[in-house]
Amino acid sequence: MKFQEKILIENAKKGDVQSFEKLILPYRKKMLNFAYRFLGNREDAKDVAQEVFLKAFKYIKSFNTKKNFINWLYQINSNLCINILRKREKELAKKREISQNQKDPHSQYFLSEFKEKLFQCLASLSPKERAVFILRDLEEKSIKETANILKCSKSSIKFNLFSARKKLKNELLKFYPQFGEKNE
Amino acid sequence: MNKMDCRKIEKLLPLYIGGELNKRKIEKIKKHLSKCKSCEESYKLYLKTMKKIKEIAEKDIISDFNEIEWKVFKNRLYKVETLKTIYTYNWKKAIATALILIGIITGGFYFYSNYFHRKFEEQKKELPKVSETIKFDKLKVSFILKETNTRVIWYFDKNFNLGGENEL
Repeated sequence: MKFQEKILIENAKKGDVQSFEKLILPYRKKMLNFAYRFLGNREDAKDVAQEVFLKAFKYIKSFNTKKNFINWLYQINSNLCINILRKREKELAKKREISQNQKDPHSQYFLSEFKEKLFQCLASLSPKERAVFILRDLEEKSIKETANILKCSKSSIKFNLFSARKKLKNELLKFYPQFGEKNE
Repeated sequence: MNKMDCRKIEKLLPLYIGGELNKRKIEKIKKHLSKCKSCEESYKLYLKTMKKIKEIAEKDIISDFNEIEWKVFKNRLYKVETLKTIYTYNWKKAIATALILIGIITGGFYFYSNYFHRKFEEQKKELPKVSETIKFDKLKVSFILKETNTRVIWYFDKNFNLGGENEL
């Protein structure tokens, strides 16, 4: 941890809002995009990112300065996102069913936006698999860091990573069968 | 190439592409991939899909909060700070108040119990003692009923038969 960051954390612990604002400034984008990849919705991602910072400020007194601050933020963020996903899982499943039923095969052809498919692929993962995949493959955290952030064992991370990658590959091939062709 | 080997390798590929396996397994898979074309293809497919997902994820990002959103957030942050201060202040105040109240209650209880105890003792002293008088041929027993605070006198004859001169 940088010296300056340590000072800012100490000041924030005393209740200095400006120091806290400076402290979170470099992590705003990261937290936003982490939540965005997790939830697949910009507005929700912004709400969650704000909630992450508010929670961090509320409980900064309990933060151990020996630990990595950004990993702590990731921990809060993933917990919030997992909770939100679990709450919305049923609603999302219903919505997905409805939207899939409403789409005719021709409109499927015109849905060229790959990102939409990507979010549909991500939606096939469980909240934990999603957290592990985003942290490990998109945020490029090590297995140890991912395990620390999600507070679980390395073997559990590997197991979730294994199933997440396998599911993603299969889902992607469902949408783009030509992707698996040799000439692609 | 043994089919069993291919199945095992296929199972390990999701972790092989990220380098999460141990060295021994990595070497084994490397060797297998150099000899088996079908496994190599599925390995390449994994790499391709992962690469594509990463590409898209990197392109589709939120740049940052806009100014208004950040202002709203700052307001919320200051509210948390105020709440924190009020909460900590009240917490200290509440403990102090509770301690004072406990002191008053225990002191009051101690004082009252002592006061009543003394009063009771004094009342005891004031009460007349039970007296017994034996006459030549009669026994007079006099006592006080505490409940009604009335004096009762019984007269007995020589054979301890209750006489007719009871008084209330």
